[in-house]
Amino acid sequence: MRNFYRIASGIDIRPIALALHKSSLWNQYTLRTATPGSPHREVDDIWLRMNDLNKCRQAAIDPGIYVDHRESINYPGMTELPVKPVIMALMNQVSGDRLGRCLISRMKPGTRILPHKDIGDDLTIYYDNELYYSRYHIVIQGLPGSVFRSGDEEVNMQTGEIWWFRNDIEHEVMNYSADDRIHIVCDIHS
Amino acid sequence: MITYQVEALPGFLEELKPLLPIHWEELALNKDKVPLDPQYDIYLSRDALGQVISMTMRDDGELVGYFIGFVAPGLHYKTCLTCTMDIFYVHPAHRGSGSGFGLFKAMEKEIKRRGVQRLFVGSKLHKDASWLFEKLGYQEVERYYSKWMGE
Repeated sequence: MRNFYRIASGIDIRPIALALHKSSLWNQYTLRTATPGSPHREVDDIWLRMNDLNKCRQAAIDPGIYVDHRESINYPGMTELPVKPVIMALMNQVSGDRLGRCLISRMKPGTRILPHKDIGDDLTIYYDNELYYSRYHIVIQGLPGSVFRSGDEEVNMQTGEIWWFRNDIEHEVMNYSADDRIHIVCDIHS
Repeated sequence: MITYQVEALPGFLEELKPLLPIHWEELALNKDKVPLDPQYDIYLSRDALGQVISMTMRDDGELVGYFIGFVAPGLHYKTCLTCTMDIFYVHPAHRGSGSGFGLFKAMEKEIKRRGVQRLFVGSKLHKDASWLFEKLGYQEVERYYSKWMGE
């Protein structure tokens, strides 16, 4: 298997799962999911770290403002949810030196993330123009029938596991399991 | 009291086994040539892949009916999550009281929750349940034939 690598299993994610059951942070930011044509349109999001949208808006009208598209800031979920220990432990495990975008993604049973890739030249479409960050998934809830494809490989990521996968090639997700698929998605530069 | 619930197949398989011969006796074809011999390992491996939906019907806790189906993207239609019924059964002592209807309504609620888009069900002609399907709003879409080819 070349497009996926399971880094860890048996992580205790119960505090996060419980907090998410009670959270009102879902879909406060829908830029990723509500944009027409988005492959993520069937997904619910909580942003933990993302680009500074205010700065991006200012830069759009003032060419003098420089925006590093790889720089993220914390959003309320990062402090309101008990996610820091597991993210920082992952940073430590992969010798990370920069934490990029982080979000929590939830897919209802029967939903999909359509085939797409994250790396390409046009930054208005793609996530980045080179493979600067590595992409990790911390699985808060993953049951049999939740299928993750990258290239020609497929895996079922299970609750309490952490995976790296190749997001520069075409990938898609089908949640055909009996319950929600909930992942923390983290970008870490090492 | 009759209740309907989603239960994982491994959890009630041992309770199910005594009902299967009764089910087989009433509904199976070519019984003189084809003995009942379920491949439980295949059912359990599919269940472990998240591809089985199993709904039980209990009377004060006793198993008296069930619906078992397979959930997967259509082989010809990858984007259509499909549930294909494997078996359903209501013990004869519990028929005529709307319990089969209740079992199917509970099953439909569950497969809707699981995001299933299309459902296929069927029944043997010698024990026709099409009245139930029609009452539930299903359309007849296929006829299925069998011919014994063995010795």
